[in-house]
Amino acid sequence: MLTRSKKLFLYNRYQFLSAVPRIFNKTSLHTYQKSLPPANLPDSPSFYPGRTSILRMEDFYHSTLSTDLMILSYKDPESEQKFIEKRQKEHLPIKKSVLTRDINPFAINRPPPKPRGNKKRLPVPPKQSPKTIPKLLKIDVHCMIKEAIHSKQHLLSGIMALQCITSERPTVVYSKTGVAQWKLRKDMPIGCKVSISGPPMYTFLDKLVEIVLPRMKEWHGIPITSGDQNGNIAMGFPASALSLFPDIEGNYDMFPLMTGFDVIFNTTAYTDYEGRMLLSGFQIPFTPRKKMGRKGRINRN
Amino acid sequence: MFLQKLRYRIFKQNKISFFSSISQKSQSDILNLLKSDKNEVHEGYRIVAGIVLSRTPIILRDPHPFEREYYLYQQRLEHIHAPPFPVDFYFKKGSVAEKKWREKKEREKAEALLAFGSRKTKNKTSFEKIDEEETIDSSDVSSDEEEIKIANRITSADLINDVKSLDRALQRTLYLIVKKPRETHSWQFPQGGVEKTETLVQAANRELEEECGNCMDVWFVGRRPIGYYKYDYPKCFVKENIEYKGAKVFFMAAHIFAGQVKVDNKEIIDFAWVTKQEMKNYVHTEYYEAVKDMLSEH
Repeated sequence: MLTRSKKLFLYNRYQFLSAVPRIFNKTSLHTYQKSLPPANLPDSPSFYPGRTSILRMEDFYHSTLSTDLMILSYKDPESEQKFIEKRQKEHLPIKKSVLTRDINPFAINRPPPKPRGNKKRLPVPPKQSPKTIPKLLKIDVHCMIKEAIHSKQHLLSGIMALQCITSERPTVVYSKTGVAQWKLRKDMPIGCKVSISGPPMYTFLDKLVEIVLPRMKEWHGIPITSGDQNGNIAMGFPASALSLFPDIEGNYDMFPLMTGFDVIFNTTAYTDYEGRMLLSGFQIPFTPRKKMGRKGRINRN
Repeated sequence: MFLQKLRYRIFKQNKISFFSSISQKSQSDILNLLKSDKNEVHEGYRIVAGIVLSRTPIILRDPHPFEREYYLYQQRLEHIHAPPFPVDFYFKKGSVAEKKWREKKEREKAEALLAFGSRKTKNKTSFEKIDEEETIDSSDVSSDEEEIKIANRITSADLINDVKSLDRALQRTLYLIVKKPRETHSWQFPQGGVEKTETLVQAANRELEEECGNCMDVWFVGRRPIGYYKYDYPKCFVKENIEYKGAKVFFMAAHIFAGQVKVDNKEIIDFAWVTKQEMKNYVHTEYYEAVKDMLSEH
C-alpha cells in the first residue's frame, strides 16, 4: 500500500524537472559565469542532498542523552582545574633552555620544540560548558583484506560490503611499509575505509544497536580497556557479523569474500570514561573488568 | 519506658554495654542527641532532597509542517540524483523476488502517471485526486510475511487525558508531581529531609520510596543535584519549630523505566505525570519559576 506521503513524493517528482542536474564543462561556461554553481544547489555536479528525515538516534541525543551526559560529566571547578593542569603539564618541553624562549629575542617566532622521547601528548580540554558535552562526531569503518596481497579482486568484496552497510563509497587503503614474510610490498592496496558523519552515521549506529549487536554470537560488549585516552572508542567485528546487517542479509551470495571489519567511534570527549558514557547512552554494552586491582580500577581521567 | 528505648538506641549506635554505668561524658552525649534530630541543617534551613522523576519520550516527535515539506523535497532531490538502482545485484535473474520487484515498479509508475489525470479530473487539485485513489493493495503483502500492526501515536490515555497514566504524550517528557495534604502549595516534586548519615542520592531514593511506594524501576542520573530552591516556612509554622527558618531543596534527576506510583494517603494524596507546560496549572507560580529551567522542552 502506498501511503499518502509516498504518493505525494512520486507525483511531485516531475514538478521539479529543473532539479535534474545539467552537466557542466569548463568550456561550456559563459564568459560571465567564471565558476561552477555552488555545491548546495542541485545544478552543481558535487551536489549532495540534505537530510531526508528526522534521525531517531540524533533526536534521542538532543532530547534526553545530552542532558544526562551533562549531569554525569560535570566536574566541580577544583577537579576541573586539576585535570586541565595535568594535561597542560604533559606539554611542557623537557629541555630547560626552551623555558627561556621568551627572554631570547632570536627565538620569538620559532615553532615550539617537541619534547624529547616518544611521549604521547593528549589535547588540553577547554573549560566546561554546554558546548563541551560529549558528542559523536564521526564513525570510521575500516576493513583490512589480506587476501588482496595475491589477488586484488578480493578488495571489491570489502568495498561493496562497506558501501552497502554505510551508504558511502569507501576509499582504498595502501600499505605504508612492506613485510616480506607476508609478501607485502609498500604502496600495495590492502584494505578499504570509509568515514561517515551526520545522517548516515546515525542510521549506521541505529542498525548496529538494534539489529547487529544483539544477534552477534558470543559477544558480550566492547572491552572496557578500549580507547585512545582521548574519548575515541574502537571495536572489531568478525566476518560473521557482516551477514547480520539487513543490507547484506538479503543478497548474501553476491559477496564472494566475507571479511571482518573494525568500527571507530570518534567522539568529542576528552577522556575514555566520557566516551564510554556516551556510547553506553546509545545502548552499546561494555564488558566489565575481569581483574580488580591497579589495572582493574576505573580511571576517570 | 522512654529511657529504656533511648538507651537501646544509644547502644545500637555507639555499642555501649546495656548494663554499664553511664559516665558524665556520655550523659551529655545523650542530651545532645535529644536536642538535635537526625536532619541536616545549614544556617537554620533544613536540607531537603527533591526528586525530578521523568519519563523520557518514547516515540519520535512529529515533524513541523515546514520540516515535513523540506524532507519531502530533499527525498525527491536524492531520488533524482541517485545512481540507478542495480537490480541485478540485489535480485537474481528469473527469481520470484525479481518478478515481484518489477511488478511493484510498474504499479508505482502507473499510479504516478494517474496523478496527471484525464480531462474529467482536470479541475480537482492533485491532493484530491490522490485521496480518491487511496486503496489497500493486498498483493503487496506476501503470504510469508506477517502484517506488522503499527500502534497508534495517540494513545487512549491521550484521548481521555488520563494524567496518572505513563502512556500519555509519548512524544514528550513527563514529570512526576505529587499532592501533599495541605491547602496551599500542595502540588510539588516529591521531596524529603536529608539525614546526617546519608548522601543526597540516598536521601532522594529513600524519600521517593516513602512517598511514592517501591513499585517503580527508577535510575538516578549521577550523584549531583540539578537544581536548587530555597524557601522560608510560613510564620505560623516557624513559631512551633524554632530550629528551622525554612528549607533548601536540592533536586536530583531520575528516570522511570517501569512501574507506577502508589498513593498511601499519608504523605501524598494524589499524583500526576505532566509535561513542562501542563505543570503551570498544578504547581504554585513561584515554585514553577524556580523549577522550570531544570525541565526539558522535548
